Amino acid sequence: MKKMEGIKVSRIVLNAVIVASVVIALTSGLKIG
Amino acid sequence: MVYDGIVIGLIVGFIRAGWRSGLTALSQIRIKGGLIFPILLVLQFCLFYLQDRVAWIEQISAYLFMVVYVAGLYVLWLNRSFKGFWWIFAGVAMNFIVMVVNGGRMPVSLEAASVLDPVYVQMLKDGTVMYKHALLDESTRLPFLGDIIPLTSPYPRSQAISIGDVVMNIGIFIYLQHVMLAYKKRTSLVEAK
Repeated sequence: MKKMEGIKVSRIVLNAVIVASVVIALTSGLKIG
Repeated sequence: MVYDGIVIGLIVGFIRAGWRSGLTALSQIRIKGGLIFPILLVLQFCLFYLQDRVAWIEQISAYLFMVVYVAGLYVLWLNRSFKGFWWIFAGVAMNFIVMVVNGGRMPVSLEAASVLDPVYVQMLKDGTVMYKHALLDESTRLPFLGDIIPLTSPYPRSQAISIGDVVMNIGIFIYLQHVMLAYKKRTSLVEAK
């Protein structure tokens, strides 16, 4: 697992994907972006 | 508006917590059942793609969107103890309720959609199935929860959004602030001892 001085980059990427997925999947906005 | 809660939350969070503390905090986020969300997103994209091509999927796509929302609300509920998640839950619930009472489609007002490319407006008028949206008219229930807020210049993109989207983004902003600053506070306390 890639680490940046104790910070797990892979975990940050995974969390970013999860949070972005929450917003994109459950938003209602017409014309996503 | 879709990403604004995240983008503004991250910018403000990094300013307040600092780059290193902020990154460390983001790497320590643990959302219960969080992996469900990317799966729901992929499922929605599959629905978007298939509903124009497969007749029976078009017929049930509105119900399938509702299943996606119910699953999403359930996972948000599991994480309700995190600060900000109540807001996210409330925003998604608003979107869900207005879609449920309108046959599984999010109503979009013509006025709000007028800020978009005329192609979108024409598709709405034609009644073309467009992702998960439909035109808001006099038969629409709970119209105030639909996509009635137009966003356009000076805002960098043109969109029609709902009150639920705004509430949801406020929740994400609150959550990111809490997560990023909580780590900084913890480390400051440890260093002070």
